[in-house]
Amino acid sequence: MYICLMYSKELLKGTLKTIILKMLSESDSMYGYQITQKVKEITEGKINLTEGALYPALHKLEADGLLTTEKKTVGNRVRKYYSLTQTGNGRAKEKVEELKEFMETLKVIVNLTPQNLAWSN
Amino acid sequence: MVELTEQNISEIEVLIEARGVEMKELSYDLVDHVCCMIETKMEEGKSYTSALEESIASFGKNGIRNIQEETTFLLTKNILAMRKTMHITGITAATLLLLGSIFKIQHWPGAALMYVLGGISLCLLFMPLFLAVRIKEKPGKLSTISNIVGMLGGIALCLGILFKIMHWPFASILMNSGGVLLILIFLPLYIYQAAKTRQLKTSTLVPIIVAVAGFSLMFSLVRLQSSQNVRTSRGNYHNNINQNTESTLNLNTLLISEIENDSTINQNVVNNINQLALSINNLSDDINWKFIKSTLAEYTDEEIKNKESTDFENFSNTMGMLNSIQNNEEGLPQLFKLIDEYKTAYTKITGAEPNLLINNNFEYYLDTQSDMFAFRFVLRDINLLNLQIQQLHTGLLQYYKGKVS
Repeated sequence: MYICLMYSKELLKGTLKTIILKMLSESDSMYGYQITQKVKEITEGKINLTEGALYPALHKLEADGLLTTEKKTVGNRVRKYYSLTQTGNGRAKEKVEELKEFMETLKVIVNLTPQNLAWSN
Repeated sequence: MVELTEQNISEIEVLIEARGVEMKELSYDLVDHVCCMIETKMEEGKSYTSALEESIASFGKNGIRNIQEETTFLLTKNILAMRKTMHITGITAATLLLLGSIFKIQHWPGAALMYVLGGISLCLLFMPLFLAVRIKEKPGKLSTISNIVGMLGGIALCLGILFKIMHWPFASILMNSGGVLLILIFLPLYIYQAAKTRQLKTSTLVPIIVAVAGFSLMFSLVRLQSSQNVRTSRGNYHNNINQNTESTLNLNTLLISEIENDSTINQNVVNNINQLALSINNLSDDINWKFIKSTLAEYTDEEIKNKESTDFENFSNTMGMLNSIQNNEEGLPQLFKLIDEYKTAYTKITGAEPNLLINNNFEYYLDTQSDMFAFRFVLRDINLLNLQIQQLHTGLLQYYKGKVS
């Protein structure tokens, strides 16, 4: 019920903010449902952000000053568009870089074989 | 493209709110999200009703409420330390105030210190911290203003009560301004906000009713005055003692003039005891004036007499400083010394021990350091003591007169 479908929620928990920031840095502004659909689409359904994870994170990022919102009336209702602030933009780049580095490090660990271990000894 | 009607949307809004979403900003997000889900499903050919059902069901049993809880948790996580401090200072303040009140009732030492420490940690630590936490938890211009006003009102009211207990100046001003802020500014703001976010339910109304009713009751209790009858009788009692003393003094003068030329009486002894009785009367008056002037220094004797006769209730409830009549050559200790001398002389002449009724309030008047007490009690006790001596003296003079005739 958290961010599920293919990956365990523990795996994705730490990367949720980065995913949101990255998504928003790719476009001017997005609304909540749009973010979930976009993530689903580009990951071919492997990552499915649930509302229960997305909205608390969006509100937290907004409170931290990384996002701003703009309300527009769409289809008889208020729709909140989220976009990155200047700080948010900088933080998005940092976060993505951090994640990339982390993935590289993870690869080393994941690809660890007895040979590697022996070599390093 | 499918578009939901306004009616559909307000139905969804009600559903979301009914599931416990109170944060307006979150509710916008969720309503829009659910609408999008429904629209997608309807585009796939489902009916509005089944699309709505499926969408709401997809959140799970407490899913929607959990979203708000998770959001609040994330938003308030970093003020946990502040909350902890707030809780600790709050508990400390409450404990100190409770202990202080118990100590005060029991007249144990340290009550004042506990009150002051408790009051200060309540007003200057707990409440500001609570305000900071509230502002972080519930941002927004209007709610921030109402929080600040409410907290200032609360601080002023509590400090006012503390000042009142400690007999410090400006207590009434603080209490009244605190009450005005709370009732006239904070409460309307609070009701307005509750009405605006459509939270005017039992859980909101009950605190409002309790606050208004409680404050009114407290206000009337603090402002409560005795009934007119009681006030008149207090004034009469006071005047009665004074008149009684005056006529006794006149009677004594008369009796003295009748016996003063008699050679069968030892005039020295009579003169001495006469002097003692008069000194006691004069000293009582002096002490009364000292006590009155300890707080009403800026008034002339004339004005004070005027206050006493026209507005006795207010006058008699005024507090005087006890230390002004304590450790003084011309204070209560001296008065008791003179009374003892009088009693000894009286016993020597008549052979009988005089029976005086001394109020045990005097122990308090003599011992308490830098405390205040209402005129009503101190003046009454001193006047009654003086009256007893003067009446005793009448008896003595009559004893002499009996010898003469």
